[in-house]
Amino acid sequence: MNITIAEEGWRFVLTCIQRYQGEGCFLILFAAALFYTGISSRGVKLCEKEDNLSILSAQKAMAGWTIPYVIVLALTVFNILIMRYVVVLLKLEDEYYRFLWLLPVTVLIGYAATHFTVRWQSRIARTAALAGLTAVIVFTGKTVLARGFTLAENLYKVPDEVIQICEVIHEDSGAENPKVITEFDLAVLVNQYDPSVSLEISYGDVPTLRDVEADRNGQDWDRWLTSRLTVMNVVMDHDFSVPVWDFVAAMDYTDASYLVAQKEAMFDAYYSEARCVPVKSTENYVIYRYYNSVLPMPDE
Amino acid sequence: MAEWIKCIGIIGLYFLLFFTFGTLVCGFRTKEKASVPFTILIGFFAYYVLFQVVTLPMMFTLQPLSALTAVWCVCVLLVLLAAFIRAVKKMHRMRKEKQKQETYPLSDRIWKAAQAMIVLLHTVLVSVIYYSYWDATYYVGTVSFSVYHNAINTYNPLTGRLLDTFDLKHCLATYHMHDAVVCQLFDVHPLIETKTVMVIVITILVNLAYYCLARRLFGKNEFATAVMMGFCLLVNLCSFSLYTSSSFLLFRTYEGKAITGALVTTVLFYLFLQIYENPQRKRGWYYLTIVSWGAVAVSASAMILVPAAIGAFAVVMLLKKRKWRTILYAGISMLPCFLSLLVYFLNRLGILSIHTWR
Repeated sequence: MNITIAEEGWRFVLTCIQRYQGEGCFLILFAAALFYTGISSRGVKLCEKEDNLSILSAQKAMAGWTIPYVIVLALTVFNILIMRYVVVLLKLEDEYYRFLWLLPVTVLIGYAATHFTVRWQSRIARTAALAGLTAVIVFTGKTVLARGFTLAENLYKVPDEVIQICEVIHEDSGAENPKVITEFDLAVLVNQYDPSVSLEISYGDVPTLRDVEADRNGQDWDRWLTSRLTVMNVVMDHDFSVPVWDFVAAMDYTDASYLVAQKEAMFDAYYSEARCVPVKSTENYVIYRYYNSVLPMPDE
Repeated sequence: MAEWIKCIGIIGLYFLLFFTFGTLVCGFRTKEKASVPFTILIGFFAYYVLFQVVTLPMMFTLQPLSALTAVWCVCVLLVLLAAFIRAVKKMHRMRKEKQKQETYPLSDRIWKAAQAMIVLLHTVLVSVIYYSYWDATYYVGTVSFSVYHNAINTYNPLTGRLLDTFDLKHCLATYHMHDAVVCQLFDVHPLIETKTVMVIVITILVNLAYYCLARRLFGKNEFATAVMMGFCLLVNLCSFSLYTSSSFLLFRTYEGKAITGALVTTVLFYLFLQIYENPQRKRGWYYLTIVSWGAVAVSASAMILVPAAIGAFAVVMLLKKRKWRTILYAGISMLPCFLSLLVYFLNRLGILSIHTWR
């Protein structure tokens, strides 16, 4: 959630709850469901086949444990007086929101809404209750469609382009572990599909390199780090103010044979000058073969 | 198409194994009959408990993944054999007792079909959605690198390089190594296993947990069960923020914490209801211990969340039912979580670390 007790102080738990709820109202619905469960635990006649006492007992038990359980949670894990020490001690600031999963939000709203629906004997009243509650949940909530997902292109659930890129590199290099530099969004995906591709700047390297960049202060760092930092600045951050010869020297040091970059005319001009020869393009990326400065270029 | 058929076969096998494990656990020293959905749910947790017990020694002794796959196959075959012998004995007994066949009226059958449609809708939705989340690099990467290097948790999935020491926070949850075993055994790609097969399995299990709760709360009223399952689906689809368990269930189902948020908590709530209703019955605590241990075997998040939930419930039991034995039972059920926490803290304090090389 990127919030800390140092910044938020006494408001930490409240801010977490607000962010957790987002733009929806499901926690308010949960509170309403909890209240309804409490007052409706007298039960309803539901089924002639089953012993009604058993259902009544279960519904009473539902109200019996959920309300005090939520109160105990409110006094303990959602109590800032306790949590401001516990969260810091256990370093749980980033994960604190997961305690909110302990609230039976989905099942209690589901139960209360169902209870309210089936308690009506007339079919019209039941249908109206069902429609009304559905509308309340839909219109007060924020649907998952807001996340902006796309349909999976394949069973692997990675873009087809990732598969294409891995295949092209393997086909062209013939090596078992071709060394590759990619854009950041590809570095996230490539090894999930093909762990045999050796990413010279992996997803895990990026935070380390960013820390190094921040602490640099003009000192001379290890060559491994500085070369990768230069390559990262160009390939991932698109900083083309880096002189081409610096980039080539850094690429030489990484020992990478391939570079995958976005399909942009400006990028292409830079990489062509930096001893990169296009092998193949996909819809959004160009796969370049990088010729180390000790190797002759194909046209040399 | 062939891949889809393979996926459906693996999903079917998973449920068969969960049911088999469940029958052994639910039938242990009791003649009480547990429902099929509940048996499958308990079987899921028991399955991962046994897998963790087998995996951890093999992982820390740096055995290859192929050895784990072989050992696990033997274990599963032994469990299947035990379940088969038990089933034969049971069938023999059942032949002597006359079984009453249950018949359902047409309206009940329609509502049963509606319940199946709700599960199908949820399953189709999670199978077709694609969303790239950076965490997948870690969770799917763990499986990919383990299969590729034929190793158990010894590679850093974020860099692809060999680790110096085991990441004890994550590697105690052996759920992802099970994915690696399945990938090796059935020659299925890690992305298909984690992002399609397991996503479908977990979604069905979550719906089975809603079904169990609905059946307990509304008896054999199939309409009410269908409505409750429908409302639960609706709440899951309409309570979006980056952090809700519903969002994790839909977009990040391949992560252990999604299972903790959506499945473990729902099963805990079901067991809390059972225990609260019938505090004399120790069976509920027995199941709670299996769920708690299974949760730790699935996700590292469970080692804090599960004790918090059980602890809060234990306080409720103490205050409302005045059952002092609750402290003992709750303590036992939280033990697997506390042991994992202890290992994690010893590791974080630098007291305990295990090298990935000899």
